[in-house]
Amino acid sequence: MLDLVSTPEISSDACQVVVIGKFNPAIFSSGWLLANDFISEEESRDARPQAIVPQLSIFEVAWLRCEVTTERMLLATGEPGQYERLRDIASGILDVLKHTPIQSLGINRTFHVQMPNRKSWHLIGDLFAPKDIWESSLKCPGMKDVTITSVRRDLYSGELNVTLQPSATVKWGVFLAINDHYNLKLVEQQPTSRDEFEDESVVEGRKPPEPSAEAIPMALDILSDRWAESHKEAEALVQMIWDKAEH
Amino acid sequence: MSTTADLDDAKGPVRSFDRHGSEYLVEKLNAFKDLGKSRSQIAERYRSATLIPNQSVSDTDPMSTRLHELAVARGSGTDSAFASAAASQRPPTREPVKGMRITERWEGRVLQAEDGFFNAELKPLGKSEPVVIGDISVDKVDEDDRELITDNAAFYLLIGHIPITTTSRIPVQLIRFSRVGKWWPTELEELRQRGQALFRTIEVDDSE
Repeated sequence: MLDLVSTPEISSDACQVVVIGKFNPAIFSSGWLLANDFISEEESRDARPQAIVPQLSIFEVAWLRCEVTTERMLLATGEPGQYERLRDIASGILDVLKHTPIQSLGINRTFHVQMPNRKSWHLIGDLFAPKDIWESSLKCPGMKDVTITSVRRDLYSGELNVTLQPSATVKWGVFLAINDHYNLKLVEQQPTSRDEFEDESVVEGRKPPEPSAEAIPMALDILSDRWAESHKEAEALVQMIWDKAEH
Repeated sequence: MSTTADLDDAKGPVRSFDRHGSEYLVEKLNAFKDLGKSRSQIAERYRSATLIPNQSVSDTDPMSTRLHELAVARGSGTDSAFASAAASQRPPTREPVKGMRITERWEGRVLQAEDGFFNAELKPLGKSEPVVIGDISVDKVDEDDRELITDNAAFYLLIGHIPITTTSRIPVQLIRFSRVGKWWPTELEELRQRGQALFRTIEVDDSE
């Protein structure tokens, strides 16, 4: 049965894969992607370079945005129909650069969601950042940013970070960013209570490993095995926020 | 204009088919005749949407650096390290399909490429539903992906819609062929050698 009211009105939906490691930005270009068969010739003709210097490479090619520094590679697209290909390109690049030391990986989604009305928009802010506690000290307090972190459900080191902000682009919209963050190592177990966060093993387990090319197979496994689940979790979070609004 | 109801109706009861009876897929594919129009109608609405427009949070968070803003700010100046802003404002040669709400994701594999169509195996992504087999017309594939239609090639079939208003939607179906990179001669040689080594092991086992 159709229930249009309960479907979030998403104004924009984007996906990013971020890898932290040691990169050589100068090799990244639309030509390099084409030479490795990651994009088609037609797509390579739609290249929009912004910066390609030894320390930095930023360009867009067709549906893909690529930002690489010596420490970080970001691949992004705002076309949901290309998310699987984004994953393929991220995997392909890591496979080609198999000697590149890396230490962490993020599978990220960002959404701008149009709230039904102004009242609903305020309701979300008041729900996630109650104002009562601030009102005696501040004048007209408002929520600008709330980030919640969560312990992972699997045995990868890392966390799930969820950020909620007023949208910068959509009137009466909220911005939701989900950062599915993996330190590229496994832990024996995840903390199950707040007290355990102080345990030495937990503190150690939450630290990212030293960058190493040996982490690449784990990153490839995550991109392959966790991709669908990560997106499902992100979409469930959007739905959760949306359901809290007054329709 | 089609609505979500059309999508659900198109689904029908048939969940498996063969190359001579691909009702489910045929219905799905036929439900998206307006794709070209959808793209142009929608493209303008979403063209201005940026990928990373809000504020930053953590190290693998996409907002954790200000590269986008940096590039825009410096690119429009005289710094020779950056390409001109004009270059980045060139209109794309292919209209983006943004704002698509995907309701079904399928991972496909070409079983046999024929003249004008290909026979493929489709596996639902993120769902434990049965694998289906059917024929897909080459016309449903973007022109620059058609060279990839070869036996065993992987592709994605994405089915969904683009909302126009709160009550109207345009159904969209996309086929994207996977591009996971080139097999270089050195990699093929390495695999050949590993295969030979494995084969020799099997021969030893046989002789015992």
